[in-house]
Amino acid sequence: MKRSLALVLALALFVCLFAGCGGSKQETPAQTSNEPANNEPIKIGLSTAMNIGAITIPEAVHLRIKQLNDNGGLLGRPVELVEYDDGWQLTGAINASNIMLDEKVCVVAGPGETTQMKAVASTYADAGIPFVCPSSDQTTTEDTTGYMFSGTPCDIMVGKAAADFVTSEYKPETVGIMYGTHDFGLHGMETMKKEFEALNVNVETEAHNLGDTDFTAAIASLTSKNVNAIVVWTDGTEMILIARQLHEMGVDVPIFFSAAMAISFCYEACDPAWIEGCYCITDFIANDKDEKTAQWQKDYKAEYGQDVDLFAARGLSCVEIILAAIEKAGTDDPAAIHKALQETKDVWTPCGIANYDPATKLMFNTCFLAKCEGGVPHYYATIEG
Amino acid sequence: MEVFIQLLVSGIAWGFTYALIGMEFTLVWQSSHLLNTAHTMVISGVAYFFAGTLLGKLGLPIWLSVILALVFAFVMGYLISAFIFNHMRKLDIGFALIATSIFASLLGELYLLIWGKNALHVSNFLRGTAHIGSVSFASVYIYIAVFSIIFIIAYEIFANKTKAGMAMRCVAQNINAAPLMGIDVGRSINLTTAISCMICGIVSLFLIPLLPVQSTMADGIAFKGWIACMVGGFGYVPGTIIGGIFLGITENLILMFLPNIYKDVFSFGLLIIILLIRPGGIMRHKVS
Repeated sequence: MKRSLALVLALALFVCLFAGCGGSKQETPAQTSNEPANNEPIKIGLSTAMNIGAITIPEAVHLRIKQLNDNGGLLGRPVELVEYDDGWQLTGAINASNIMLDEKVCVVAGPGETTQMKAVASTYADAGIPFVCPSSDQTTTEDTTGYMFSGTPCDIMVGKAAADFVTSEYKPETVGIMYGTHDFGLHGMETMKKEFEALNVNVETEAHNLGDTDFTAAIASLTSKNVNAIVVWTDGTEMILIARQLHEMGVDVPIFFSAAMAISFCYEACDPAWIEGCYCITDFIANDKDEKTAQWQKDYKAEYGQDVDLFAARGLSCVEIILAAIEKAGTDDPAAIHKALQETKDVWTPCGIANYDPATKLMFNTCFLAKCEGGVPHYYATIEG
Repeated sequence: MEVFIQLLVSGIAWGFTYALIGMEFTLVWQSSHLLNTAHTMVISGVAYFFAGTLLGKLGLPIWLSVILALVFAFVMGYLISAFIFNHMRKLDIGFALIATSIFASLLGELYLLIWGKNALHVSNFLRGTAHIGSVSFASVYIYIAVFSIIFIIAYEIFANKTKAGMAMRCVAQNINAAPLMGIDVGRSINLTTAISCMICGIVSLFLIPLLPVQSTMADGIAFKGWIACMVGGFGYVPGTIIGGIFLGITENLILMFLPNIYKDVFSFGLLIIILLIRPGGIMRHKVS
């Protein structure tokens, strides 16, 4: 009796084990082929940092998707965001790409950092999934896979626009460029140096490493060479330190900062006196130049209680380009979306009107110029690169 | 000449910062033979407390916030020593190193929970510019030099003229013989660590006008503090002070001849040269 009972229990356990191990999700033919099926959501991936205070990309994306779904979704279907906190790190982006492919997204917004973009490019390309990056780095123009798109004005264009503006406005003999040795700083410096030299302006450059805490030597070197203007092309933390030291060392020439100064964590960290009258060349600055931008700023403030900033604008730009491509494609088939992205034309984004140029792989040809007054950068002009 | 003065002033200020960091690192080593890798988190923790809680949330006056921040640092150090370091010193040095690293990570995550993910900034604290002739520089550099000298003198008086200070030096000299002299070794270690953390507090107050308050604010500088220890003479407080000031001045003045990006290369190169040709450091101190 005991033996029989034991046998029955063992058999029951055996059956339960197999039942419990019931394999992966059963996929219907409709799911594997990405054909629309009865209100199946359109899956868009989001790979970005979710817990870094200055990076407000998730906030902008969430708001847009929420508004879209409240208004009936896209192509009559709800949009589902498949998001992953990549921590703005290389390994995070790689993990995110695996998740995105597992979840069968049709397109991805992100990642945002150069090394991340390079790392995941072939993964997404092999899977046929296009991705739109909230990054201004020229990596998107050097991409050979054809699946990487930029969601913001590219540094090549912005750097050129910066050089043109500085020269036309101030006619300097010699310009000093302080730049970080990362991709953003290096590429920006190279673009501007080339443009300045083409305009017969002498250029003196001073590099610094990210994480440096003292720029006395670099600033002293530039001032000893009698530069007539200084361009600072680096990340936010270094930019705050440089702004302070330029002021403390009594540097009295026009100063032009890169986009980081347009971010609130950066300019709020600066004493107004440090940045008064300084310029900032950026993908985005709050403005009411068009109705959609003004409305988005209002909606964002109402939702989150804070003003929009550069990263929020970049995030929204990527999503607007993606949504326009899906709408143009008429389907969530990644191949069709990829084709539609290559045909992006006259798409509104807060960073400007997106028009994809297959020859240069640039998505935008304008950027913004802001001027700091009262410790805050304000819209000054839209400039062309 | 202007460039030389600016680099010298900045170098002296950073040199004293490295010296203080090296000093607090050395004090913990001397008392408990622990390499305290969590000291960067103590520095940022005090900065967060000062900027986020005392000034930010409570809106206290600056002079009171400074005093409370240093008291906080002292108490934090005492508690860390009593509950963690005093037990860790019985571990193998490798395990102790890992343990302090993990402790540092825990502190970092705790700060994120308490004060959030955004960096904090303090305006109107040790801000302003000073001038030597036509040369302008941050006035905080002068404060750093002056207060560092005052603190070092005060510490030397404490260490040499008070019973508690002499007890600390006895424990540092021979931890096994110290109890035979009637010294409570555990309490002495706690006091040493508390003073070490108070030095971290002083460093954090110096860094606040220079850097945003975040958990990584002291990472690069703390490493320079460690280099200062090695350059001056590891485990020897006067050597650490000399090493710090020497490092701060030389790594700045060398930039009159080298590009700015080679500053850290010079510092690490100096460390390697010292380790190869004079392992006892400038002061030729033998590590016991």
